[in-house]
Amino acid sequence: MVEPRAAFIILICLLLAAALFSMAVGSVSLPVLEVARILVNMESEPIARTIVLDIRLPRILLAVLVGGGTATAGAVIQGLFRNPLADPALIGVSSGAALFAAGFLVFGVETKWAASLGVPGSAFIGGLIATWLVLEVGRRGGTMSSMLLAGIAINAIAIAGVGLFSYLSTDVQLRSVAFWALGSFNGADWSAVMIAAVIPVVVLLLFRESRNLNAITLGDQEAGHLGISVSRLRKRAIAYTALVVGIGVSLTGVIAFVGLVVPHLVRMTMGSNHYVVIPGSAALGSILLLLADSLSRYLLAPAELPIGILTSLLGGPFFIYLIVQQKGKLGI
Amino acid sequence: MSLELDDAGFRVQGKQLLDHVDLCLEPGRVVGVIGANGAGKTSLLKLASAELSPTSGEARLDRASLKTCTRESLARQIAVLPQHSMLDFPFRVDEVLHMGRIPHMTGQSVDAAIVDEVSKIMQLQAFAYRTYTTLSGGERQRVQIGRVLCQVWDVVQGAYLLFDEPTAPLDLAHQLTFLSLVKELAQKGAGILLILHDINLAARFADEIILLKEGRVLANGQPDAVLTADNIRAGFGVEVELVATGETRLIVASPTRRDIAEQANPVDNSG
Repeated sequence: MVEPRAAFIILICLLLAAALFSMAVGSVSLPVLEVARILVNMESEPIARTIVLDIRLPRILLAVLVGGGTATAGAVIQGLFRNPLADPALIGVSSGAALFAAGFLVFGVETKWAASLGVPGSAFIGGLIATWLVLEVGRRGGTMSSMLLAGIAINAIAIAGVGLFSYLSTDVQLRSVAFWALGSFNGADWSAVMIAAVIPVVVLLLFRESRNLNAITLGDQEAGHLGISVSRLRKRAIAYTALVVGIGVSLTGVIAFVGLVVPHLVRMTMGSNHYVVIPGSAALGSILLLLADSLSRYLLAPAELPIGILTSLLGGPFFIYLIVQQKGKLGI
Repeated sequence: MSLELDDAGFRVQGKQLLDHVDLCLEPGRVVGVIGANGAGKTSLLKLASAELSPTSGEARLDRASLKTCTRESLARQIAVLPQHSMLDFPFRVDEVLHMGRIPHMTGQSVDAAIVDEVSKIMQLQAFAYRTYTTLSGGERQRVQIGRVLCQVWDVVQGAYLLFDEPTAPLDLAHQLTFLSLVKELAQKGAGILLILHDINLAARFADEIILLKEGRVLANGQPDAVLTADNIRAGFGVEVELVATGETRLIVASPTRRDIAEQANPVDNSG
């Protein structure tokens, strides 16, 4: 185990380094020194300035916010369900968002604002509806496993719905549905960053639940005997999680595995205490998504790989490695 | 001052799990609950810990109905060890112990001192920094007991500790250490409820015993009065023999007549 304070210093240094690196790579590669000059507002080439400040900086901030938020949501959902294999997708939020976004892309009105606001807006509403459905079915089923199973069922329904919409769509629509379902930071601009700025606020609210989340890992009964209202905690935490993931998915599409793998890495290296796991996941999620985005821009430059493909391609095998390598240590 | 069940019953899905049960936990006393599987021992503990509300009768803490108490205030006075632990995340042992301090706002240094003291008493120092999930069943149980002790360590006087089969995973030495500790806590003013399977341990450490059968109290009172061959036959469907050993007596199960004959020389290593 790594001493948390040392780990956080390392993580913050890594984050800054990754951000600087990410500003330098892309279809036009800039020297790091030039990037630094632009950032501290020294004289520089106007084109380079535009690339860094208007294109790359908002994109980097968006990757940091969405990556940190998604990983935090993963950590919280895993604690809440006492299952290290749980993922934010389990409460239906990602697939619900994907379904509604696809629906809007295929059937929505084609106006100027539709692309920038309509897709994220409907994704967000879809995410909330799916989460509410999962919660409601879970409440009627009465147990936590009924909620997990409801999540699986609603995911399946939503994925079938996305498939149906794709089938009904025109070629052009199909392309945007596919791109959206794969996840991309392509549309990153300052207005997206403004919306994503809500994420750190919600992450802070989740961090304040650390003590309660620690208690709930002991069991619902035990948490109750420690004075915690478990059903209220669960509702609160799920609402926050749905908000974070909903915003993320609505802005960047579905980015898989970050919410699943990052909290594992943090627990393996820094322990299970949520006071450490939540900020640790936020930091590591930011770094990994930022690096993944840089890579997705670099690999096929000047084109780019949808980031969801990259995170799944890297995250999937890595997760299998974890399962085999760690055996009992994952606590499964 | 007492934690009481007054003519309490609990009914769920048409099944009467408890019926007309009285219980009075007072500071300084250890009440043992025994009974066959499914007799209602755990339901009784859940009513007393406010996890379940009685469907008839009442549960009270210091004369106030448990329903009117807040979760937070109950957690500062009542600590509970459930039968099974769900903890599957790799927490460090000292972190698990610290969770017992959640209901209190006593500050880090007080909490750390309490955790330290309890780990000494529960002999957990050797693995304070080990990961809970790597421990054996008995070691995990000692950690969980330690967590429950941390919860009321600084407010023992007037606190209630409810343990559901605490000794089941423990080895003989740790069973005895734990039960002696329970006695000590009672002397310091705690009221204690122990669900036990080992009748001899119950006889030795409880001040009062409640024998449950099919949700009803079959007998209660002093151990000697409750633990008669007749009561045990009625409660468990087992023939027993009472064997005098020094000051106490041992209860030896004897499934058949032939076994009784073979046990003419009583076994001497029972706890």
